[in-house]
Amino acid sequence: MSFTKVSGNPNKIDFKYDIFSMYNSVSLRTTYRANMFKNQEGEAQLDDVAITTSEKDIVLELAKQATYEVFSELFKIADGISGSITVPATVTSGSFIIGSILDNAAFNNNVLPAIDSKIENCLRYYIMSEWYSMAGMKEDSTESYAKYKSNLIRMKNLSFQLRKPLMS
Amino acid sequence: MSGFSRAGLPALVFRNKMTISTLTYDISSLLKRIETESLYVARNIENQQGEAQLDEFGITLNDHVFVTTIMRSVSADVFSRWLSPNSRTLTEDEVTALNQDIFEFDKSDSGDIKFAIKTDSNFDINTLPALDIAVEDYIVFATLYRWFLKSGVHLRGYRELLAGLKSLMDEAEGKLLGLAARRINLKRTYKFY
Repeated sequence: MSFTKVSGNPNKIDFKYDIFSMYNSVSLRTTYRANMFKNQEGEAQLDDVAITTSEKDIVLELAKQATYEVFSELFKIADGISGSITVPATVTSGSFIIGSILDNAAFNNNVLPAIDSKIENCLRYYIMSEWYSMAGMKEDSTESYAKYKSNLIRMKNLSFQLRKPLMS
Repeated sequence: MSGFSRAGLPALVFRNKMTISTLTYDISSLLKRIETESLYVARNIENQQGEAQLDEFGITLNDHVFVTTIMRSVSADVFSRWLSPNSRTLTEDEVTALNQDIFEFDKSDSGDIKFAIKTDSNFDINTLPALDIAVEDYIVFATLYRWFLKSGVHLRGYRELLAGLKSLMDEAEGKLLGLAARRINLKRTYKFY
């Protein structure tokens, strides 16, 4: 995760997330969960529940969906930026999900890392929620979705700082 | 953001002679103030999950065209209700010399709102800076009130918020009315025959 201020017309802030790191993160988390999720014989459901290399395609699909879900909440401050959302075509290291918003230059700089982290959490929990839903694990899906919503709300509330115009 | 100027010589010299003053407001600066005020209000309108309704009620670049339309109508109100009596006696030659209309609203982002008024001999010229601010405050609060009304904030149970904005607008209107109509008593001379 990272953010960069880009000068231009208009000035913008790019929030970037390496899709391979995102894949690793959801893979790690779902593997731990799968380890605790056992059938009647006590067998951990690693094959069914954990995201592994075989699921890269679905992670890419869900990442695309998550990116539009999260960044559409910031569309009102992306006006004038062409192609404010970028999603990579493959899950490879060095390929980035990018969301851009206008840089109104009227915010406390300390708010950017916090927003960046909340966006990353949103993307991650959205992917996990959809994945668990597909795996038929309704409770886990609901729990991940609740975490997604909670991070989204905190991110949106923090975005107040980014929405203000610079008053001279 | 705003500023007034007198056509002709400095105010003190021409204090007791008829002259023309113009009130000018930069639209983009007004929009910035309106945007910021709307966001501060929207930050406190939360849904049941605690999410501030910034998208619904906060004004951003997206809403500039609509908000400028509201501002245009509010500015016309300012002119027709309070400032036009002061412009009534402007002659055609005076308006031509002024090089602007008595009331102008240039909708472009870098445009201005302009009012020309006749500050005649009994107009209290010392009130011009306060009148300047009162006009700006009225434009801002009336635009915000109409924005929140059109956004339906009262339908979400925030009637008090709308009432608060209305009272800010009314307060600005009161100041504007008082300042625009304020006159000084001229010194009277009596001739005894």
